[in-house]
Amino acid sequence: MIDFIDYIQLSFSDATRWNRDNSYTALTDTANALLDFSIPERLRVHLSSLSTPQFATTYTLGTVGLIDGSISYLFSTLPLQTTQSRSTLIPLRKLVPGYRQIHPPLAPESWDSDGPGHEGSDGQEDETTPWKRRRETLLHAILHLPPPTTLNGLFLRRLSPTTQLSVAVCSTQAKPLSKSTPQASILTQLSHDTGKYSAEFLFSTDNALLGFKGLYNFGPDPRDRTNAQRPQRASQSVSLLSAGGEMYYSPLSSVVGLSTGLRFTTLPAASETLHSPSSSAYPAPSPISTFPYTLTLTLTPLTGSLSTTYSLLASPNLAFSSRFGFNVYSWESEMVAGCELWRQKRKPYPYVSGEKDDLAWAKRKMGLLPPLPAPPTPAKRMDLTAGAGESVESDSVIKLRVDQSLNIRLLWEGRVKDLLVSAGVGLGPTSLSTGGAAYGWTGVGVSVLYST
Amino acid sequence: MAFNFNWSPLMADAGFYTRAQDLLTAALNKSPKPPIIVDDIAVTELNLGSIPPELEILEVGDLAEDRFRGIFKMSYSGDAFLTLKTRVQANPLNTFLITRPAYASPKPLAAASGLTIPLQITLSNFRLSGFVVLVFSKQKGITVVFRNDPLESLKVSSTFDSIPSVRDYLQREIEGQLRILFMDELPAIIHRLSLRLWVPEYRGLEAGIPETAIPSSLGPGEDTLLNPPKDPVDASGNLLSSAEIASLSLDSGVEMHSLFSQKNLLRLAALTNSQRTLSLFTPSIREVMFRARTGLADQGEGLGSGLMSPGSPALSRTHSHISSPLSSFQDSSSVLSLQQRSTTAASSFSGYGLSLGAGRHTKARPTKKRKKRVVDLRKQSKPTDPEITSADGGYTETSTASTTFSSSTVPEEVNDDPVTPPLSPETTIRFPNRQHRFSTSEGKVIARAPAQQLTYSEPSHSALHTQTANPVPAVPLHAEGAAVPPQQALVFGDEHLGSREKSMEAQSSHGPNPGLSITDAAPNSSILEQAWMMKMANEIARRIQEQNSLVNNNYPGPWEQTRARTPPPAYGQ
Repeated sequence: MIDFIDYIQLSFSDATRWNRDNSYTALTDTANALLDFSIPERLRVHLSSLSTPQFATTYTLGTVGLIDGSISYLFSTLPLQTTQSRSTLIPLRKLVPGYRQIHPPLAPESWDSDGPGHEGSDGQEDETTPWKRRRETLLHAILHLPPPTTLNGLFLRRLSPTTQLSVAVCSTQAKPLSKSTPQASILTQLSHDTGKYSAEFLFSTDNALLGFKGLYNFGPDPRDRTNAQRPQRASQSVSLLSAGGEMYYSPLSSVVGLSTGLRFTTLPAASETLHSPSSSAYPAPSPISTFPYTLTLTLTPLTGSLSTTYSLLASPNLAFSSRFGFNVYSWESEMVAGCELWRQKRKPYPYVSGEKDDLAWAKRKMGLLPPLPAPPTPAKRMDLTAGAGESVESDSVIKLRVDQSLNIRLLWEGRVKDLLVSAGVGLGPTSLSTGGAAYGWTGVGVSVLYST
Repeated sequence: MAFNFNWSPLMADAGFYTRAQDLLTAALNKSPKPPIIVDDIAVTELNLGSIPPELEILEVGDLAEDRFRGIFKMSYSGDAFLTLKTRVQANPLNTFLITRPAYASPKPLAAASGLTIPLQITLSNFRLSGFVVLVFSKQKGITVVFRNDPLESLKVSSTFDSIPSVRDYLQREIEGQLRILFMDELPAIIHRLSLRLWVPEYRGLEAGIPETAIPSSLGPGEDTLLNPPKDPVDASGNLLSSAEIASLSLDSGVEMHSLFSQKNLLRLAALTNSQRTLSLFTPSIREVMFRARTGLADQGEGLGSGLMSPGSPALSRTHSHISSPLSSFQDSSSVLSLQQRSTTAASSFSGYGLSLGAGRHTKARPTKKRKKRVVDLRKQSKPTDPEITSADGGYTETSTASTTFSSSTVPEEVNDDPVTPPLSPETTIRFPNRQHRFSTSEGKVIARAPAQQLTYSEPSHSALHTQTANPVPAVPLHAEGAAVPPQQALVFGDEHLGSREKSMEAQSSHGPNPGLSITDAAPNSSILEQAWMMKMANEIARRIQEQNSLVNNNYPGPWEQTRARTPPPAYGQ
């Protein structure tokens, strides 16, 4: 479960139409959400509120160590009017990252209201109108309070429809873990996203680390609007192939990092072709898939590690993922498998919710009552799940992951009355100091979030 | 004062390396490891080599039976080596990011994926040089602190030797880690070990000192002080009787040490000196009567024991006891040095006695202030050789009151440079006293009444540097010496005699030394000691009998004769 402040930040990026999927960093988001989720540490309580549409606060109290806590504030120049902030109303799918359905990349809309960018802005045009032509800014600060205090700050600004600047500051009083670690560092990140490709430039004051990340989407260019058919076809694409890479270099400490990645994912159109094959809107139904899935391959040439993931959404409520990693130098391998299972509140049908009449079916047969509306088709449900998740009332989710050394993590997240509760356990071999290994608990924790 | 630094028995102990490896493994894993090391560090191989480190005593700040504070200079360039096994992270970006807070990190997708590589590191060619501050206290254990960074250089060879950058990096990291180990970890380890040894078992005091001090350089060693030597011989090769061994053994020494008092010892030494030199200065000692006559003029000439300073054996005993942290006694050599000390003192003085004609004014006394003591440990020391043994014993106090003779009679000059000792293997201990140098080079004495002077160096035993203190007025001593009454005696109060056991113990053991034949030439000089040594002999015999059943009071005959004498009339206090 992500923090409330992160949820607000994601809402901000959604509201400013920033496609965070179109980034090399997000290449393996699906697999990470299914395999690398973390379980809470001991007991942690979050009290959050979005007191005004522009201002959010969070207080956190935890029992890691003795007692620790944090205070964080967030200010956005863009009023987040549509963001649900009550813990009873926040859609769980937005708080708990799961299988992430990638949508076909869109060209960034021009901030000129007269611009030609109209595709994809079907129903949201009206609500996004107020922020157009403005350079929205988000400020966020979080102070971790136990005496070695740590102050984190974030400055996020949309410079143009295609660029976003983020400056993150981290200042800590804690003892540095190594001699070269400074007490404070600033990370500046300039992101550029054109839909067809995205690029990020990084600079960190910590050892003057420079970084570059790039992602390129194969296929038709969403910016190409000369052909009237092109946008239509782009939206009809059933799959997306993306390739990217990242590079880091620090001239001071000679730190070098390099990795490349490849992702193949199905688009919502692919699953639609399955569930509505009879619809004549698609002249050539794609034979690719019957369910959404994502494949990624990442290579780290310098250290010789490669990793592949395969994630699939077997049903709207069930997702599987697996990852296999191998290092060609050290011959170390990694195998992780995980799944998530959503429990949904059954969609209340009118006849169930409306009346408690055991004889309704009889009356209906006799024609005294109108016939039932047809239950939602799987295709529709799929759309709901993949697209705007808030219309599906997800109740809880269970995540489980296992790796080759039998490290098991189990996480349950759900709603208990007005609280959002996240509870997890970890089991695995615990290495003793004497060298022997035993199997036991590696972590148990409960996290409670209440927000207004 | 002397000690043996016994190197090879460390390796003779079969379990030593296992224990040391465990100890080092624990120590290496306790401190926070650099983030590049992702696994426990295991010590797989350890060898201390055959070349021992060299230790020099630079300063002894505090000295008593239950505490010691001194500064040593240690230098080591031996062939010890150490092999470690661990796993390292080969991706620098991974290491970089691990040590950074997550908030402002670049969050790379896969560039920071780890690559752990098993690594085997061999550390060899250690070059250590440093000043070691050793503080010992019975209650607080041993504290060994390196005053500076002792690590000069070492050679790190690993599986990455073919990659220069990695090799250099490892060299840097390991040197840094070893410096931390030497400066921070090692004192803690030694302190913990010493506490563990002393707190539960108080009697293990003497045994514990060498045991815990050895790890100060390289790990725990086998204690050789726990048991008396198997085949003890004295300096001339004669077998010692069991009584003598028992009196000299360290087990009984536990009780004896508690009877000493450095202050009283020095006072007594000054007192005896003043008796022999006609000095007007007599230290005030409570419950002591001074008598002018002993009536023992004819007694004890055959024994060189009379020449023994009351302070010297005790002092040297104390020194050797305390310096034992740095040395492990290989055999009885250092114990024997007590006797050898006396014999050499006797024989060395005898030459003077001949030249002086009447040597009664010669008396040894330990100096109160020794600025520097340089001990050069040589691995060529041969403990069975009598002369070398005495070199091991090293600290001989002879007495020449009239130092005007010394320059003429000393056939071999002392090493004038106290700071840089020559490399002759026999030369073990030097007392780089300025007065010492002065007196030996010029053959004159500028005597200061309360101050001590080192005037003499033993010629026949080049390894021995004898040391004499003369609380004499600035008058030529030999001129005064004629006026000295030939017979003097000291009768001490009973309470103080008990603390002199140590001298008696040393006295009692040099009877069978054949090298004492020339001590007849110095007949009167030993008379003084005969009286109080007799007392002390009685005292020590009584106490040892009480405390140690193995000890009998079978002391040489002369003591028995002197026992019957009536004390001369008191003249002082």
